[in-house]
Amino acid sequence: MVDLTAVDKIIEGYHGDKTAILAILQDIQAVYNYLPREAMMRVVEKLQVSTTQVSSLATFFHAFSLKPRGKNIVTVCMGTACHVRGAPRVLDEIERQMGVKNQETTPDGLFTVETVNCVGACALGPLVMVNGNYHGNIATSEVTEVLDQYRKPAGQA
Amino acid sequence: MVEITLNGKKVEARDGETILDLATREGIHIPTLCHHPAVEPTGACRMCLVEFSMNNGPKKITSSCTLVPEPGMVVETDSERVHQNRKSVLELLMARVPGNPELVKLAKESDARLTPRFPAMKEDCILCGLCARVCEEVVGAKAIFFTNRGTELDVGGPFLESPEDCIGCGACVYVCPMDCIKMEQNAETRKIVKWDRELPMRKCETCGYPFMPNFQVLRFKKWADMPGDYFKICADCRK
Repeated sequence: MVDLTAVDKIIEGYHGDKTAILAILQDIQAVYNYLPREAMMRVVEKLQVSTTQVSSLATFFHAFSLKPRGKNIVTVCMGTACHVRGAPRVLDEIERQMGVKNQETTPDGLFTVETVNCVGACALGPLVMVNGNYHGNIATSEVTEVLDQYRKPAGQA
Repeated sequence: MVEITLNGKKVEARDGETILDLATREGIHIPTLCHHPAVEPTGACRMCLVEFSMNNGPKKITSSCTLVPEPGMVVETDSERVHQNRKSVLELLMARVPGNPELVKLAKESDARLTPRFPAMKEDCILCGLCARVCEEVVGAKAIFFTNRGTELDVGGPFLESPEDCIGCGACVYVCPMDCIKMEQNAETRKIVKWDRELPMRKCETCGYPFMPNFQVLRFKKWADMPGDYFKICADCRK
């Protein structure tokens, strides 16, 4: 069972405003790292909106995940500039090292691998983002080093 | 009242009328799939494309069901370009839903190829969303809507599961232009096959005919403010 106290607090913060539904979903994802079904149903109940509305919003935006994700989100940019500079090779290397495919989470729950079509930092391509931190001009040989930074316990990174 | 030029003729548009409404009133046939007078237009199916220009500006192609008349507007519903565009749309739809009788009928009205040049998919739905609009705007159940987007787009219950808010009224079955939402009914239950929603039927206390799903009875009661026993017998026995 998911603890929904955080969800109630978030909805309260928006005074139950129906038009803030996207912002509420974003805040929920920031807490749980994904959108738990129970949390979405609480939003339906509290905001008096239809389940279809929440489901269509939550599935429309790729920024939302309906599956639990790892502690660290590794986002490989697959935009045109990154692509021509070898992003597919970087993704292959990350998938190989993690032993998971794109959109999957490592069994230890430490990493989730995702791709995105452009992060708007084309001059830095190929680029990998981990938890919002940019690692530009990354070579396949540097993947291990970058990922290791996030394997350390918090505070030592 | 706004005056526009429609196929070279000056016509007056009434308040709130779209170009599709106006053309229909003028006796001009424009093919449609996702249009229904009971709900707001969305311009999803693209069958009702027309060509228009403003104050002799460049000519543009757009859906007539969402085009609102403005002064200085010149609309063509029958030009070569309009027919070309409608034909392309129809061939794409036919590639998505091969052999659909409604699409075949539209193709025969135009000169669209019956075997499209695009690779055939085996879908039964054109994702026009008319079922979802009727469910929200007419029925008020909001039981079905779009999920995902782009090539993954699909229509159905929340998270593409059986919709708990569906009252089994069958409005979506009735309006679907592709006739791809099937309903199965026996003495005990009614099932909307596409949504995987099965509901128990209410039997008439007089004749025993299963006339309406229980859920629909509850909703009607709430709306219509009818006496408690009004829906215990079917409409035929009530006469």
